[in-house]
Amino acid sequence: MTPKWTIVGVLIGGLLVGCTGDLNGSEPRNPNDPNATPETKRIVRLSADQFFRSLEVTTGQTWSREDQYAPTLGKPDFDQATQESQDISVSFVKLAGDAAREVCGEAVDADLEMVSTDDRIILKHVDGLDPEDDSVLTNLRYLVLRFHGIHMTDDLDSRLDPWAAIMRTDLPADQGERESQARDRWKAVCVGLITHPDFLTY
Amino acid sequence: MRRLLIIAIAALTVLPLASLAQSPEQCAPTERLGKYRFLRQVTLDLYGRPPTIEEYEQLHSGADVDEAKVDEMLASPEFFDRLAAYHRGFLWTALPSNNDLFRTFIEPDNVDGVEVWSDFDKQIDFRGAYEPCLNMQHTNFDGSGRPLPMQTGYMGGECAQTATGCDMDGWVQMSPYWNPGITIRVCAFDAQEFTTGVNMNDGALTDCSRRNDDPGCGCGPGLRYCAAEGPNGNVDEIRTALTEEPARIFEGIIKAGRPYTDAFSTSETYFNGALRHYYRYLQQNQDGELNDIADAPYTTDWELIQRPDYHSGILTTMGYLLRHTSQRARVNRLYTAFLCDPFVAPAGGLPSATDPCSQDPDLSERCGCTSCHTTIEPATTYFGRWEEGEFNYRAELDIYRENCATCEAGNCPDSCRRDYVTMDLETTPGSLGDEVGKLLTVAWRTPEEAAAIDEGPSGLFDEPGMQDRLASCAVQNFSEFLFSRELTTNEKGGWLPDQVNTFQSNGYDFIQMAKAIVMDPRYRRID
Repeated sequence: MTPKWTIVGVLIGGLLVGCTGDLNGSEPRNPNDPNATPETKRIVRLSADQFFRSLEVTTGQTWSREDQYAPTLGKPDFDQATQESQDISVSFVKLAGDAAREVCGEAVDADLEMVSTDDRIILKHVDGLDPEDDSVLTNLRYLVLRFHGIHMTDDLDSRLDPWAAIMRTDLPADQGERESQARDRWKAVCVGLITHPDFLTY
Repeated sequence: MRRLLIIAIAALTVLPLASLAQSPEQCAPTERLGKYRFLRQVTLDLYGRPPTIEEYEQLHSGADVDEAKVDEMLASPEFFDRLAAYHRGFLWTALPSNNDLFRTFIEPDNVDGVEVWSDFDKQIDFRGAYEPCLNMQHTNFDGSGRPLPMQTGYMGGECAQTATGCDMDGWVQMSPYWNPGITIRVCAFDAQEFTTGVNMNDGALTDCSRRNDDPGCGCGPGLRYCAAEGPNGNVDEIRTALTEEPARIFEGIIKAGRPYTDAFSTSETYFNGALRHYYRYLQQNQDGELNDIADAPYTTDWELIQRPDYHSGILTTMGYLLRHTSQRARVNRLYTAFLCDPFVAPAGGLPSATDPCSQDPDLSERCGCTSCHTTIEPATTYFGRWEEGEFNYRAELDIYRENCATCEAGNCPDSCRRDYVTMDLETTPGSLGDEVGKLLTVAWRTPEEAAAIDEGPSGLFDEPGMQDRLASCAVQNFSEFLFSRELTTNEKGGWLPDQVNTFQSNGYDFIQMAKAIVMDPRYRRID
C-alpha cells in the first residue's frame, strides 16, 4: 500500500470509529431504522464552503484550489448540480488532506517569519522550537480550542496526549536536530487537527 | 517533505484514539453539547464558518451561548450573507449563456503583444473581416469626430480572404464605465461615443443603444452599450449580481422584519450599480423589463428599487424566470422548494400512451398526468403574462387570437404555436373543443381560473390555505437546515405545527422563527 492510500485508509477508519463507537456502554443505534431517528441535530460533514472558511479562520491561509475542487467537494452550481453534497467520500477525505498539507505548511512557515508571537496563528504560545518545552502543551491546548472548539484547562489533560505524542515521540538526542524537526512536527499537528472528525464534522 | 509525510502518517494513526479521547459526545446518542462546541455549531450554521479564537475565549468567563448572543448573531451581516446562500439553494438561480443575456460584448484581443478590446461580432461590419484593429494609436477623425480608417486595403490576417482588403482603425485609450480607475485600449470604431448612427444601406438613423450592424455605431458614451468579457471586464460581475438579486429580496424582507410572505408578492427588488447599468443598457431583450430605470453610478451599492406593480417578489426576477424557463417549471420550483409539495408520479405508474384516456390535450384531465397537473395547470395561469424563456411581461397579450384559431395544423405562425392552442395540438378529431385559439395558460380553465392571469404569481398566495402552506414549509426548511436531517413524522405532527403557529402569530418574522429553532433543546443535542 502506498503512503497516500495509507493516509486515506487511516482517515476513513478514523471517521468510522469517530461516528459509530459505543462510548457509553449502551447498544449503538441502528442508523438505518427510521423509527430510531433521534430528534436532535444530526452530525454532518462540513459543506465545501464551510470547509474553505474553516481553513481560513483556523490557519489564516486560503487553499489555492478552492475553485477547482469545490464541485468535487459537493458545492452545487445550480445548473448541472442542484443539491449540496455533504457525503464523506474518499474524494473528500483525499482533498481535505491535500488542503490541510498546503495551508498548514504555509501557516507554520508564516508564523516562523514573525518576531512577535502575538501575531502568530499556529505557534501562538511557543517562543522557541524545543519540543520538550512546557509551552508546547499550552500551545496544543490553544490549537485544540482553535480548531475543534474543545476547551481544556489543564496542560496535563489526557486528551492532549495524542497531540503531544506527535511533538515528542522519537525525538533525536541532539538539541539542534530536535528543533529542526519541530517545524515539521507542528505542521503534522496542524494537518492532524484539520483531518480530524472534530474539524470536518459538526 | 518525506519526513513530514512520515510524521503525518504517525499523527493520523493516532486520530481514532484522539477522537475517542476528545469528543465522546460525538458518538454518544443525544448528548447535550457543551458551550464551546455549541458555539462552533451555531456559528457554522448561522455564519458558515467556525468561531474565531477570540469568540471562543469570550466563553471563558462562564457565559453560555445565550439568547443575547443568538440575537446578536441573527442581526449580523454574516448571517444575512449566509441566508442569501441558503435561499439560493432553493431558488437554483443559474443563468443562460452570455449570448442570451447581453446585447453586445467587447473582449480583449492580443494584437502584437498588446491587449486591445473590440466587439468580435462587429469586426466584419467595421473592417470587412473578422480582424481587430491595428496596434497603433488612432489619429484619423473627420470633422464630427467619427473615426476614419488609418489604413485601407489591409491584407493581413483574415483580411487576406477579402477581394479589396480591410479598412483598419487603430486604438484609443479610455477609462471604461465599469472601472474608471483603469485605462484600456479600445479599437477606435468600437469606441465611437455616438448614440445615433446612419445606416450605410438605407441612410436611416440607427439607435446605437440597440444591437445593430451599423459601422457608424460603437459602444456609445464611455462604452456604456457594451458588456466586457475577460478578467478585466464586467460580465462575471453582472452575472453574479443577477443571481444574487432574488436572494437580496429575501434579505431585505427579513432584515426589515417584514412578513416572509412579502418575498413572494412585493413589487420591490434590490439592484446595485452593475444591475442598473445592465437593465438600462445591456440586457439582451432590448425592449425588456426595467430598461427605463434611472442611471446611477456603476459602483452604487445594493439599494431598494420599485418595480412596476405587476411584479411578484422573487418569482418575477430575471434570475428566477430565466432559470425556470417554462411556466410549468416555474410552478414546479415554487411548489417543491417553497411549499414543500413536490410533484411526483402516482404510485401505480402512468397508463400506456396509447390508452384512450392518454389522448386528452388538457393535461389536468389526461390520465396519469392529472394527479400533478390538476394543480400545475391552474397555477401556470398566474405566470401567464410572463413570457416563457424570457424576462418579459406582456401586458397586451391577447387571451384569444382568431388567426391562431383558424390557421391549419403545420402552417400556424410561430407566435401562435408558442403561446396559443392551435390545431397542431389536436390529438383526436374534436379534442380541442372550444379551446383552439386561446392562450395556452388560460385554455381549459374556468373563467375564474383564467382571471388569475392578471393577478400575477403573487395571486397564488391569495388562494385559501396557501399562506399557511408557505409558512409551514418555511419553518420546515429552516428546521431541516439547522438539524441537518428531515423532520420526523412525530415532529411534523406536533412540534412543527406549534412552530408554524408561532411564526404566523409573529407576523411571519423569519428572525424570530430562526431564533426559536436555535434555542430549541433539540438543536443543542446531537446524535
